[in-house]
Amino acid sequence: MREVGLKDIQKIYIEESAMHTPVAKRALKIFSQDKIELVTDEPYLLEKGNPSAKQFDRSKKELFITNFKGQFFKRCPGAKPGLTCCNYFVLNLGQQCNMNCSYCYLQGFINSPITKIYANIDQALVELSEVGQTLKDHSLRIGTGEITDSLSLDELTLYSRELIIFFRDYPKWRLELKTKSSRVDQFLDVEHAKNIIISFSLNPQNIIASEEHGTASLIARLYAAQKSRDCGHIISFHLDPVIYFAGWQNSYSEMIDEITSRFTPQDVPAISIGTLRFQPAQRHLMRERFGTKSLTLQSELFQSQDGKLRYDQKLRSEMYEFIRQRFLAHSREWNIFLCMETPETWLETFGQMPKHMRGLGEVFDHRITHKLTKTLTKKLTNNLILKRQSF
Amino acid sequence: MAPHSGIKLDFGATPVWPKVLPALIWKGVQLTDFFTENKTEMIEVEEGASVEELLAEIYPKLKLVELSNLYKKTKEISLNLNWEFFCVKYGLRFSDNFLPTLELVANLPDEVKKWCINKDVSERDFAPLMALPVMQKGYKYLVGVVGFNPSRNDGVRLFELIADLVLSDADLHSLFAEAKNLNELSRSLWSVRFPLAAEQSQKLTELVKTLPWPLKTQARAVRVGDQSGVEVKMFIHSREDIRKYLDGLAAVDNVLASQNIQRL
Repeated sequence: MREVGLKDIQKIYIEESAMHTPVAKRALKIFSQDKIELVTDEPYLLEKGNPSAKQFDRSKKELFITNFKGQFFKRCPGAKPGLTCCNYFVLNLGQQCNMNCSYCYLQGFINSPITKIYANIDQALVELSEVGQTLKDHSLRIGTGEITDSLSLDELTLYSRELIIFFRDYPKWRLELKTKSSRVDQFLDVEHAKNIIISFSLNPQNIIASEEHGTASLIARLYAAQKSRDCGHIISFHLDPVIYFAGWQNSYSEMIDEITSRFTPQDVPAISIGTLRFQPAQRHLMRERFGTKSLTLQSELFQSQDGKLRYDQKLRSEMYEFIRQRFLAHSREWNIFLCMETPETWLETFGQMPKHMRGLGEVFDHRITHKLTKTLTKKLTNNLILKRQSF
Repeated sequence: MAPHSGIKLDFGATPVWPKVLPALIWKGVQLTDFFTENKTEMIEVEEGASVEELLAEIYPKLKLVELSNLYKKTKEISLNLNWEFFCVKYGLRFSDNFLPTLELVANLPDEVKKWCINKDVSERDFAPLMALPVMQKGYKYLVGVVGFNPSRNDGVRLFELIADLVLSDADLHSLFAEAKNLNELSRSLWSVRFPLAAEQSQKLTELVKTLPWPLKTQARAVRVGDQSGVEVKMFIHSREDIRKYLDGLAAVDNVLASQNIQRL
C-alpha cells in the first residue's frame, strides 16, 4: 500500500473559533470546498462509548481543526513504575494518526472518533516559552509524536517549521519529530540550531507491508532521513515495535545492513529498540480491524509487569541482543538503548542499567527529570488556569 | 382498541408472566404470556405509551441474551426500539458496538445462550467473537466448551482462544474430540494458540525432572505473565532444614552451570 497523504482525507471539520488560524486557512486553500464543513462543536459528540472498528477506521480519514484547551506539554507515558524510562517530554499538537498500523496503541487510547489538529500552536509555544523562562539552560528532550505522527500531516500544519524556528532560541533543548512517513521536504530549508532530531520508526519492509498500512516504505524513510541529515539535522531511529515471525533474524539483519550502509554512528547518535507491546483491552479492536492474518495478532503475548501484553521475556532479550550485536558487528560505535522496558530486560540484554552506561547516563538519570518535572508541574498548572480563564 | 394481530413478541424472557394475569397487547402485538393456550383475557395497553417503557415495566430485569433475543424478534416484525433506553434501564453501556453485539449473541447456538444466561456473561465478554461476524464454523466449538460447564472466566477465555484459532484456520476438530475434560481442552487450545511458549514449557518441564532437587521439595515449571520459571515448594521447620535445602539447591545450580544454562 502506498504512503497516505492529504489526498486521502475525506472530510475536514473546522471549528469556527479556529477559523482565523493559519492551519485552518491553509486547509481552506488545500481541500475542495465540498470536503470542508464549519462547525461550532466537535463532530460525533453524540457517539457514545469507545470507538467501534468502523468509527476508528473513519477517524483516520476525517480531520477536526480545533483550538486545544488543555496542557500541550507533558511527561512521556513511559515514565511509569516498573519501566526504565529515558526521561522525555511530549508536546501534543494533535490526536490520532492518518496512517494505520495494526499494533498502534492509539486503538486503546483514543476515545474521539476523529483526527484532531490543534490549531492554536501559538498557545503551545507560549507554554514552552514559560517553561523556558526557568529551564532554558537545562537539557530538555521534547517530542511531538506521542499521540499523532509528527510529520504525516505536516504538509498541512507546517508545525515543523514553527517549532524549528522556536527551538533556535533554545539551543540546549532538543526537539524530536517522530514519524513513519517520508514527509520532510516542507522544513528542510528552515535554518536551525542543530537541535532538531528527525526520528524515524523503522521496520523491515515485509513488516511495513503487512502491519504498517499507509506508511512510507523502508527505503523512502531512509531516503528522507538522508535528506534530513544532509541538511544538518540529527537523525534518530526507533526499531519499534520489533515483531517476531519465522525468519525475523534475516529480515532485521537486512534492515540493519541497509541502515549501516547509509548512515554512520555519528549520523545517528541513538537508536532505540522495543518489542511489540500493547494494552490487553485493545486486542479486540485489533482482531476486528486486522484479523489474525496480522503478525501482531498471531503473536504469543503475555501480560507483563506494567500490564501490557508482551513477548516472553526470554524471547525479548534474545531479539534485543540479536539486533544489538548486528549493529555492533558493523561498528562498536552504534549506541543502542531499549524503549519502555523492564529493569530485568535491561540487565539481561546489557548486563547493567542504562544510567551506568556510556552515552546513556544523563538520559536515564531520573534525578534530573524529577527536578525538571517539579518545576514544570508548578509552572504549567499556573499557566493552564490562566489559559482556561481566557477561553 | 387495535385488534390482536397475532404477532407475539416472544423473545424467551426468563421471567414467566403470571398465568392469573391477562396478556398485554400493544398496538396489536402481544407482549406477554406466550405459553397459555387459548388465553382469552387480553388487555390493550395505552396506545400513547412507548413500547420501551412498557417492556421495561413488564421485564424489570433482562440479561444480555434476553435482550439479544428481543432485538432479533423486533427485527423480524420490523419494530424499531430505542436501545439506548434499554441500556440505561438495564445498566449496559451503549456504543456503536452494542447492536452488533446483540446481533452476534442472538445468533449463538441455544446451548451457548443458556450457559451465557446462567453465568451472567456481559457484553464485554463477547468482544473476542466480534471479529467473527459469521462464525458458523466456530459455533460448534463454543458448544463444545459450554458442554463442560466452565466458569464464566474460563469459558470467556476459551471463547477467545477459539476465535483466534478459527480466524487462523486452525483445525480444532480432533482436539475437541480427544479432550476428556475442561482442563485437557484448555491445555490443548492454549498449546495450539501459543506453540512457542508451549514448547518452552515442555522443555522446562523435562529439565525440571532431571534436576537433583532436595528431598521433600516440589518443583514444577510455571509461567507467570511474560516469564517462565520454576516454582519450588519446600517446608522448613529448623535451621537444619534450611542448610539441607541450600546444599540441595547448590547441587541444582551446579548441574545448570555444567550445562551452561543461565536462565530457565
